[in-house]
Order: sequence, then structure tokens, then C-alpha cells
Amino acid sequence: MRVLPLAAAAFLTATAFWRPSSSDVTVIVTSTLEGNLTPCGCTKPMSGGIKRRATVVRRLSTSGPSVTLDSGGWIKSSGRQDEMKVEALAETLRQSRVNAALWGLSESRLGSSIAATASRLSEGRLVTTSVIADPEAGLNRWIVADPFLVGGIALDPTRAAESLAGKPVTTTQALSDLKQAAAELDLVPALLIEGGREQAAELARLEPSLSLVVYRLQGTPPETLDLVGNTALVSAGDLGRKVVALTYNDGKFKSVRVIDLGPDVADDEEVSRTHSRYLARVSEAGLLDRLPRGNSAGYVGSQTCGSCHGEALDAWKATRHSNALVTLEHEGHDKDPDCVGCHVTGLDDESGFRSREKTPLFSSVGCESCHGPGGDHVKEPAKFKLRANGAQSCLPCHTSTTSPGFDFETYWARVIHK
Amino acid sequence: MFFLPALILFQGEIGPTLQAGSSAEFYRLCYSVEQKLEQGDFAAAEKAARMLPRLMVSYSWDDSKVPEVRRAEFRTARDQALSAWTRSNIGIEFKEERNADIKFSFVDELPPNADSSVPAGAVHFYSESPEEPRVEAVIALKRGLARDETELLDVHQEVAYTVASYFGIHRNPLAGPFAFRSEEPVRFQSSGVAFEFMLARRNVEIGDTLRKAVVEKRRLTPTRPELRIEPSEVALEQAVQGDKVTFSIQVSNVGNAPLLLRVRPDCGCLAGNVPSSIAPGGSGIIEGSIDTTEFVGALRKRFFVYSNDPDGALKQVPITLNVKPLFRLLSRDGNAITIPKGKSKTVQVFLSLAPDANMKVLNAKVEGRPAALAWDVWMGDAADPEMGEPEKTRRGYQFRLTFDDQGPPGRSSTMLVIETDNPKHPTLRYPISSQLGIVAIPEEVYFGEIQRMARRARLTLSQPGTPFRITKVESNNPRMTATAGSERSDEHRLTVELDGNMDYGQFNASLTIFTDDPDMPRVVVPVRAVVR
Repeated sequence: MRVLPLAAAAFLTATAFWRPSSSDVTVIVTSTLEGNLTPCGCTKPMSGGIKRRATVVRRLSTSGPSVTLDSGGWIKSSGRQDEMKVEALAETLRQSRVNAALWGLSESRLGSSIAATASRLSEGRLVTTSVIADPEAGLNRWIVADPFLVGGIALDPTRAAESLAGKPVTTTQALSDLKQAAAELDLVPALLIEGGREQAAELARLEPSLSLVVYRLQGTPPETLDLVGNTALVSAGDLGRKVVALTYNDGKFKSVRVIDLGPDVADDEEVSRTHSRYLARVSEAGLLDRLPRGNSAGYVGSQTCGSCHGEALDAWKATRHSNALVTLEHEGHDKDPDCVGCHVTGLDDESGFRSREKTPLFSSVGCESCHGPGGDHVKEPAKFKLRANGAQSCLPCHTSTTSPGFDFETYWARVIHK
Repeated sequence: MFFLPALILFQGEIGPTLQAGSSAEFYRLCYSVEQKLEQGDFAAAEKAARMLPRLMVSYSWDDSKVPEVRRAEFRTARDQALSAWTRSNIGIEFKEERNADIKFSFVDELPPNADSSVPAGAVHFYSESPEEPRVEAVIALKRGLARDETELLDVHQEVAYTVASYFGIHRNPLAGPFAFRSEEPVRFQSSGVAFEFMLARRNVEIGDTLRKAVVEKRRLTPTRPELRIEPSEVALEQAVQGDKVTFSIQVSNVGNAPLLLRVRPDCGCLAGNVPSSIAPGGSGIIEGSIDTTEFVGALRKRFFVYSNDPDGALKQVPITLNVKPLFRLLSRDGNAITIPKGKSKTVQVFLSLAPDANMKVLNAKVEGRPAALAWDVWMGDAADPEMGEPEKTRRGYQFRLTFDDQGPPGRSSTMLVIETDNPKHPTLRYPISSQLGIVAIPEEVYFGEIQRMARRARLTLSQPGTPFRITKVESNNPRMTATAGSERSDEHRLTVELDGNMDYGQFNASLTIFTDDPDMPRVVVPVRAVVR
């Protein structure tokens, strides 16, 4: 007896190969990034990253009519590196032919000049309905992505407007403006919001003509269609790990598919070049040298510790901590302030890591990364005892994002020493 | 669903128990053998038992549809995948022969599976007839939505997966194991995991057990476990950041064979203990916990539950939770400030604590650009825009950082470092970027990857509160110009233009902007592009 899966049966009978139905529109939703342009790569395999994401978006969008929406949430703070991230991401919007990306409160905080730069690099793909911004900032109140008119709602329109030197628009008014503009253009309104599902559901109830509300969520997006009335509520999750594809036809969303950006997904060539340029700019801007640093008792380096704690030093040498910067060098992130702090010793201190060339003794996760700076201890060991350690020493770096599957007991056994 | 009612009365000896993670196809085959044994049809049982997996695996390879130039490298990729299985050290050996256990062949394209819109990269046929291969894999030469050429990594994946399915291993949704496969092209070589090797070994042993039962003409009663999960989705109450929230999921076995279980979380924050087996008719509890230390807001995580229920070899249980912050660092001044010339600037940062928060501030300091720091216990009104909360009364601590106008001009960073007695959050950091003197925004004019045509960008020079005049702008590249107004203002907008005749490749240039400000008579702004 032959057991045939459905696909096999179809294979046997197919005379013409499948193509999407001509009236189906694939709506592609990409997730927030929170500053993570690529997975940190410290452990493998990891999911996510703009290079893989672009591959999936390109594939989905070239297989038939499609609309691609970016949830925004690109950054978490507002320093020089965040500006560079925004510039790189804006460029990828153009490369991936994304239709609209939310310019929310987190991005607005960078000011109108950076908004103008991002708008130029994305070729006008940024949207905020919550602010009437300086026209030179180049932000759209809505974007036509046939059959949708896409708007964006910021968390706090007043603060977003302050940062953009613009005029705030209340959410109710923004919704009404979007609805009216959509009616005039004979399009269906769709929204990108910075809020969570609760707010998405509230907006759907407030304005039932909304076809789609894309909201923010940490973790894994729902794999089933979530409807409030006829409005689909969709999230693609966080940290750039998933892409969600929906099928829209005849005024309704029919299906949803969550695509994991695992290591099986190839990197997109064009976006890979953009990411490489971003890393090169971070490196050349010398951002590590611009980090704020404290003045501790002074770092002394693991070799100094080893002069009294020889066995501990030998144990440490056998661990991956002793080689931690090499991992980053392989990934090209060795000048990236987002990463380096967890791969060297004392990056936040005047006496700590600067570069492998200038401070070779600190070019690893040394004794003092966990026990604290040893300057006082080497002078008066009995008086200045260094801290004993527990999970707290590990957890700032071994987070669920950078070190998935980290289990203190298991990993402690690998580095244990006296 | 399969064909057995729950909890039948046993007529005789029951068949061997399958491991969690075994495939439905493998279960079907075992069931078929056991059913024939129960009926006393030993000849038919012997025939079906021949299809059960063995350590010596034969395969046939029909690459007649593969372009001739690619055949050799495809065979190399195949051999690497087979070698990877051989290296599992469980004694697997492969031999190529005509009438084989596994048959590989190729076809130009395949239609999508029923549940997908992506054209299949391969289809698999499972047979219980000794005249046919146990598994036949038909591999597409074009795959994915873009119908890319099948490459060597794809061949490696399809071969490794097909062998996994021969050994009765259920498809894995996560990349890495051999039992993972994708319809789209892959760029990651599966390396297999210990669990798969253990499962392959166990399924061969089950095959041996059934073959022995055939030889000994023992009557076995076919059995199957059946997994029920309650609830199928866990919606937890609101928690406060740092809480370890525990929950229980009931798993029941309504089948008539022992149910074997494994649980894997999709996040390091999630943990679960599960009974490794549940007797027929019995139930157990998955004791789960989620550590909320790293999260604030709505969370949705998943458990993957692997079992030997042939209809539910892999089930997902979503866990949802809303986490209220334990603390928030808030400031009306934001993260970016300007220090006016000749004056000082004070920034207030509030540490707003949740009611009953177990957190006391032990010390605070400033790193980076210096600022005088004072801090105290605080109660007052503040908004939290990121949490969507309007101004309301909060309690906690306030930190006042006062910056003077000394130090190098430009933008620099300050970090407010707060030490607390909370073991999960011993150090809190609040970054502040401060501008002193004239600053260019953006610091570098970035055009990205552009074609060889005219381009324009905007650049702002600002010194809020202190007007100045731009006296001259110089470009160090003839392909680039910049224009600025000559009025006196605290903010100037410049237009930077590339004329479209740049050389191909890297474009690295700079603008020197001269001002009448004695403290910052010139500002240099790099300009960068890649012309393709």
C-alpha cells in the first residue's frame, strides 16, 4: 500500500504548476527590531536579522501582488549608533520595496533632520498620521499601497511632534483623517501602531472600516487569524525574528502564515552590503571611544590575577571566555558598542578595554568581568576582597536573546574554579 | 485521527512503545505489522515487517533529470549527508542498490503542499509494500517562491531529512536537526542532534522487536497513545517584572499505550518539567515557569511538546502574559539635551517604582561627560509615553544632573549609573546625549548605495539658543557642492548636492563649514556614498 501525502497526489495529477490566485494580495508584515539588525551570533543557530528578512520579503513580494508593511520600532535609544541604524534600515526599505514603515515615537526622538535623512534614504516610505511634521522632514501622513491606505499611530503624539518640530494629532483625529482620505481615494484604511493588541482591538472597535491593525508584541506572533469584526489584528513579534504573510482577497483577510527567519534562510545580497557598510561606519566613527566610562579602582588583567590564583587562571584559559573577542571579530562586530561590552573586560571604565592593539590584556572576558576591577585588591588583598559570584554575574550578558538556552547550573559547571 | 477507539481491552501482549518525536508514518507501519500479528496473518506481517528500519540502509539514486554538469556535485552532497548520519556512531551503514529502502529521484518543479503557498522542494512517498522503496523522495530542481535552482545545501538537507524519515523521525520545525527541512532554499547545513540519533536507534530496536515477534509468531495487540493538552493555550494573569510566574498544563493519555513526552521552550525565559511517560488513561502535569526579569509589556512564548502520539508528534502551546514594569526611568528632558553657551543645564531623571517594588537605591554616579549629581527619594507626577501612560502620581527617586558648558564642543555621552539592592537589577543605566556648541545633524551625510546620478541631501547645523552665521562652505570634492543661507540663526539648513558624475565605487568626501562663532570657527562633516 502506498501512503501518499496530499502534495504527492497533487504532484501526480498536476498538469500546470501552481501560481497565486490573480486576485490574492499577499500582505507581508515585518517585526520590530529594537536595535537588533542581526542576531548577535554569539551562539548558533539564532533566528532573525535584516539580511534574512529581506530574502523572505523579496520572495513573497515577487510571487504576486503584495504589500509590505514594516512595524517600525527600529531602535531603543537615541545615540549616534541609533542614527546609523536608522539610516541603514531606511536604505533597506527601498531595497526590499517595503511600502510603508511606521515612524513612531522611538524614531521621532532622533529629530527632524534624521527623519529627513531616513525619508530620503527610504525614498518616502515613512509614515506617521499622529504628527503634521515639517514638510522638509519628508514624513507621510499616509501612504498608498493599493488596495490599502496605510497610516501610523505613535504612542505619544505630543512628544513625537515636539521632537519633529511638528503639530500633534490626537489618535481619534488621526483615525478620522485616515478614514476620510481612504474614502476619497477609494482605498481601504490600514494602520501601523506602536501600542499592543489591546490598543489595536480598541482602534478596530472605534473604526470598523479599518482592514488591518499591525501592533507590537514581544515573542512569537499568533499563528491564527485574529479578527475584531472585519479588522485583522496582526503582529510579527519582536527582535526581527519573524515575518508574517497574510492573504487578502475580496475585502477580507483569509489566512496568516508566520515565517521563522532561521539560519536556513539565505542572506539577501543587497541588504548584506548595506549591513556591511553600517558596520564599517560604526567602526570608522570610533563609537567605542565615545562611550561614557567610569573611574573604578582600576582593571589589572587576568594575568595579574593569575600570579596568585594560578589554578583559577588555568581553568579560565580553557573556557570560551578567554577567547570571547575572537567570536566578535569573526562576525565583524568587534567595534560595535552593542556587542563588545560582553566580549571584553572593563569597557565601561577608563582603565578597561579600548582595542585589542591598545589593551590586549582586556581583550577577553577576564577574571574582572565577573569579579569586578582588581586594582585595590592587588594592592591590599586582605582589605579589599572581590565579590563572590552567582548567576547575577552571568545574566547581564547571557540574556534570553543573546544566549538562548542559557542555564546557569549547566554553564557554571563549565567555568567553575576555586 | 487513527483507527483505534480509546482504551480498548487488551487481548494479548501489546506492541513496543514508540518514543516521543516518532513520525505518524512510522507508527502506521508498526500498527500495520501488529494488526497482522494480532489477526494471525504471519505471512502478511512478515512482508510488512520487512519495511521497518534497519541499521543497514540501501538507497537508489536516479539523477537522470539532473543536468549532467551537476550530477557529480549532487552525489558529493548526498554522500556528505549520508556520512553525517554514519558518524552518529549508532552503527548505520549505507549501500547503493537497485531495489532499495530509500529511493531518491528528481523532477523539475513541484506544486505547493496543501497547507502552503510555497512550491514544495520535495515530496515523500511512504510504502508498506516490499516491492517498493520504504521512502521515495522526489526532489525538485527548482524550489521556493522564486523557483531558485536547487543547490548542494538543499540536496544535503533533502537527503539527511529523507534518511531521518526512514528512521521514523517526525519533521522538526527548527533548523539544525536532520529532521528539519524547508521548501525554500537553505543556506545552513543541518548537523543532526543527539536526540535524533537516539530516536533512530530506538526505532530500529522497535523494528527488531517486531521482526522477532513475526519469527516467533507471537500475537501482538496494536496500541497507540493519544495526547490531550489542557489548556491548549495558557493565558496568564498580569505579572510584575522580575516575577517568576508558574503555571500548570495538564497532559493526559486517552490512548491504550504509554505516552512518552518531551518539552522544549522557544525562549530561555521559559522552563518546563514534564513527566517523561504517562500510562494509558493517566494524566500528568507540565510544571512551567516564565522568568519576566528581561521583559515589560505583552509577551507571547511557546512550548513545543513532542510525544509519541502519532497524530500529535509535535504540538505547540502558546503562553501569553502581560508584564508590568518593576521600575521605569523617566525624564521630561528625554535622552538628548543641549547645553546653552555660558549657562548650565539641569536634567531630571525619575526612577519610578511599581507599588511594593523590592528596590532601594544604594548609590548613583555619572560616567562620561561630567555632571553634578544629586539624588533623593521622590514622589510626583510624570508621564510614561512608552508605556502609553499619561502624567500621574508616581513614587521612587529623582536624580538631578547639572551640566556646565565646560569641556569639548560637539556631542558627547553621559551615563547615569544607579546601583540598587535588587539582586535581579543591581545596576540601572540611563544614557544622556548632550550637545555643546555647534553640531551637525547628521554628523555624516550618508547617501548609501546610489546610481551615478545627481543626488541631494539635507544637513542641519545648530546651536540652540546661540545664533551664529555660516561664512563659507568648502567641499573637498569637485563632484559635490553645498549651499547655506547667510542669515544669523541658531539653526541653519544646508543642501548638499552630488552632480551625478562621481566615479564608481566608494565616494568619501567632506565639507568644511566656516562660522563666525569664535568657539567653533569650522565644522567638518564627512560625506559618504557608494556609486554602483
